[in-house]
Amino acid sequence: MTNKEVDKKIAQAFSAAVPDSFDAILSKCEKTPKKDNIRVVIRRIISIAAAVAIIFTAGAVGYGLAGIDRVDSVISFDVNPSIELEINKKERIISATARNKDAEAVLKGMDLTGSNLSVAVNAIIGSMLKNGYIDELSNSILVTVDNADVKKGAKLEERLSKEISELMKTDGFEGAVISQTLKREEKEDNKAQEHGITKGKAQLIRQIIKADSRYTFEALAPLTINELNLIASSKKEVAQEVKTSGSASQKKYIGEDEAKKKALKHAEVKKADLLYFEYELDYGDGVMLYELEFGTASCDYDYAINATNGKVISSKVALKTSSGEDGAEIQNEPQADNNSSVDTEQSYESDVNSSEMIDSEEETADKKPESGNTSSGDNSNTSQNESPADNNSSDNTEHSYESDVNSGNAIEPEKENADDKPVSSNASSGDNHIGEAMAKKSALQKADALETDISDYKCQLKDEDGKAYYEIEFYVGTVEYSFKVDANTGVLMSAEAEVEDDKPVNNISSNDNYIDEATAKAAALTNAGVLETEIYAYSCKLESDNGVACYNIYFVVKSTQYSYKIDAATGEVISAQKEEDDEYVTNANTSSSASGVESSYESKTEITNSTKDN
Amino acid sequence: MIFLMAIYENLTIEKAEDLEAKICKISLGDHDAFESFYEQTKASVYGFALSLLKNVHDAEDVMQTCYVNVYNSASQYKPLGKPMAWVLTITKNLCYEKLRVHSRQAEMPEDCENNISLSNNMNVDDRLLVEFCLGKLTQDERKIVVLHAVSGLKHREIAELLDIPAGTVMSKYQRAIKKVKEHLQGGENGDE
Repeated sequence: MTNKEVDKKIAQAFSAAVPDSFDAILSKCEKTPKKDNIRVVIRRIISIAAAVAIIFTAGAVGYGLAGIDRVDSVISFDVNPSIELEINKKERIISATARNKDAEAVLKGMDLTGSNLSVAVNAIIGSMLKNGYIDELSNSILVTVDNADVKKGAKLEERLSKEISELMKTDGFEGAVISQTLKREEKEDNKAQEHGITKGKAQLIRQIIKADSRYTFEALAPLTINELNLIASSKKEVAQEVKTSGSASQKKYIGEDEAKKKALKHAEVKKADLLYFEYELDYGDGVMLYELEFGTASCDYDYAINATNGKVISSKVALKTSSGEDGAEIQNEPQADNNSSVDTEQSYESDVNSSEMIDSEEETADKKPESGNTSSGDNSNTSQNESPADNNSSDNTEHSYESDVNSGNAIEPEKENADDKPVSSNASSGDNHIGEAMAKKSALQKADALETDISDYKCQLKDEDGKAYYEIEFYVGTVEYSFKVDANTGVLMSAEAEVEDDKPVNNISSNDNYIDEATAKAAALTNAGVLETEIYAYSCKLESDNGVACYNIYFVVKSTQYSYKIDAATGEVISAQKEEDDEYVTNANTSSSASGVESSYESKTEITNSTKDN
Repeated sequence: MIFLMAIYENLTIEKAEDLEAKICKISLGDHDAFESFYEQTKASVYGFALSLLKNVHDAEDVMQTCYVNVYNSASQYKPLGKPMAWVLTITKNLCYEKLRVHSRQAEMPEDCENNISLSNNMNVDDRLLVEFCLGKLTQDERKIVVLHAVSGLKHREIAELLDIPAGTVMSKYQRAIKKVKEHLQGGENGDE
C-alpha cells in the first residue's frame, strides 16, 4: 500500500465523518449581522465625521473670528498612533496634533479645528478603526487628560473613557480603554518628546517601569498600547494609577493553554504531574512572551515561550533536592545535608535568545547567597516561584546557575566541599571507590528516574586535583542529566539538567565514533543524486531516533524537498523522503500534481525498505 | 466512495485561484459560491478541527463558526494564493479559543474513543480509521496527517501553518503514515 493510497483512505474517512452543517451555517450567517458591518459602521462613523468636519471647517472660520481660544484641557489618544487634542472650555477643538506618522494617517484629510470634542473623538476612533490601528487583535486605547482643575479633568477622563468604550462596542468587539490624568512631573519631562510619543503614553510607561524595574523606557516606548496594557495588567501598582475598562486583546497570541502545552511538551512533563503552574504574558528581548513557571515533584521549570509563534525562547529546569530521602540510600549523603553546597543543583539555559529579563529571573532561583561564586553580581528581586513547590518539604534546597553567564564551567562545588567536609581526607585513598553502581544509583535517585527511564547512559571515573569522581550522564526523555559523584564518599558533587530542543539529541563527544556532518550530508546528496551547489534551505540536526543516533538532513532542490535520516554511526541512509512542491513545479506538472507526489513517495518507500533490509 | 474520492482529487488539484474566486463571490453574498466553497473545504476544516479537539461536537461547532467567519469576513481576505491556509488558520484559532474556553488540553485520555461518537452513517472501515487516527496518533502526527491527506497541503505549507520545521513535519508524517498503514493492513489481514 503506497502512502498515496493511505492518504486517500484517510481523506475518505474524514470526509465521511463530516456532519452536514451547511444549512445550519447558512442560517447562522443570515442571523448574524454581516461582518461587513465593521466596515459599514466605520464608514458610517467616517461619513458622519467627514460631514461634521466639513461643517466645522466652514464654521471654524467664523468661530476663529470670535477671538483667541484658551486651552482648557489637553487630551491625548494613544493606540499606536498618538494624537493630542487641545480643547477650550466649551470643549471645542483648538488643535489636533499628530505625534507620530501613524497619527498623521489617522488625521489625514480631517480638519477637526472648531469641532465639538465628541464629534472629534468619534472621527478619530472611526479613522483608527478604518486604518486598522484598532481591531480585534489590538483593541486597547489610552486616553490621557490634562487639566489644571483635577476634578474637572477626572470627570472628562471618565466621560471620554465611557464614550470610547461604547464606540468600540458598536464594531463587534469590545475595546479596552485605559484612562488617566496627567501628573505634574510628567508635564515637566521631555522624554516623551524625544521618543515621539505623548506624555500620556510616557506616563503609562513610567508606571510600568516603577512596578517592574526590568523594563526600560527605550524598550517600552515603541510598543503599542495594547502591548503595554497586557504588560500593565499583571502589575498591581499600575492598576492603582490608571482606570481601565475592558481587557486587552490577546487574540494575536497563542494563549496560555497553548503556551502551557508547548512548554509541557518540550519539558516532557505530564499535566497530571504538575505541582504548580504560573504564567504571565510579558515582554522581553523584543517580543511578547509567556513566562511559565511550573514544577513537578522532582524539578522546577522556567520557560519563556514566544507569545506570537509559540516557539520556546528559553527553557530551564532545576532539580529539587530532598536531602532526607537521599540520606536513606546513600551512605555519605548526610554529609550533604550539613553542607548544602555539595548538593548543588544547576539549571542551564538550553536556548539561544534568552532575554536579560529571563536571566535575571533565573538568578532569583538562587536561594543561597553562599553559592554566589557561580552567580555573582546578580541580586534581582526575590522570586515567588519557589514557594508553591516547597510546600511539602522544608529541607528542599535548590541552586540554579547560569552556564552562559558564568562561562559554563562554574560548576565546581568540590572546592567548598573540601573546605567543609572530611571528603578531602578520603580523596587520596583511591582504592575506596564506591563503585559505578552506587554512583549511578545516587544519580538516578537525584534525577528521580528509574533505570528503565534513561537512555544514552555514560559513566566515567575521572580525577580532578587528586580527587576521584564518577561523571555520569544520561537522558530522560529530552532532559539531559549530568552528575559528578565523589568516588570515595558517594557524595553528589554536582547535578545538571538541561532540556534539549525538539528531540533528544544524542550526547556526542569527541570520543564517539560518529561520522561528521559533512560525511552525512555527502551520503544524502549522493543518494538523492544531486550536487551540493543545487541545494538550498539546508538544515542538519543530530538526533536520536528510537535510540539510534542519526543525522536528520533536510534540503530543497528546485521544486523538490528532501528529508534524510543518516545513521550517525555507519553513514547509512536510514530513510529518505522526497516531496514535489507544486508551487515551484513547471506547467508540465500542473495537471497531475497528485500523481507526481505519488511517485515520489514510492521512490522514498523503496529507498527506506532497501536500507532496512540491509 | 467514488464521490468522496473525487472530492479528494478535486481538493488536491484545485487551484488556489478557484477558491479565491469563490471567496470573492462569497463577499458579494453569492450563496452558491459559498456552498461550493464549503463542499470543497469542509473535510479539511472539520478534519483539522477534529484532530485538534478530538471531540465531534466541538469540531462541528468550530466548523460552523469557521464558515460563518468565512462568510462574514470574505471581503477582508487578501488574495495571496493561500486560501486554504487562510481557512485553516481561522479553524486553528477557533480551536485554540475553544480549548481556552474549556480550559483543557487537546490531548485527552487514552480512552478517548468514548468521546468520539462518530456518525452512525459512516461505514465501519472509515469509522475505525478516524478513531485510529484520533486515538493512536499523537496530536502532531494527527494534525500533519490530516492536513496532508485531507487538505492536500504540502509539508512546507504544514510547517508554516503549524510553525514547526519542515523536516520535522516530514518525519512525523512518515511515522504517522506508517502507523496508519499498519492499522489498515492489520485490518485487511483480519486482525481487527
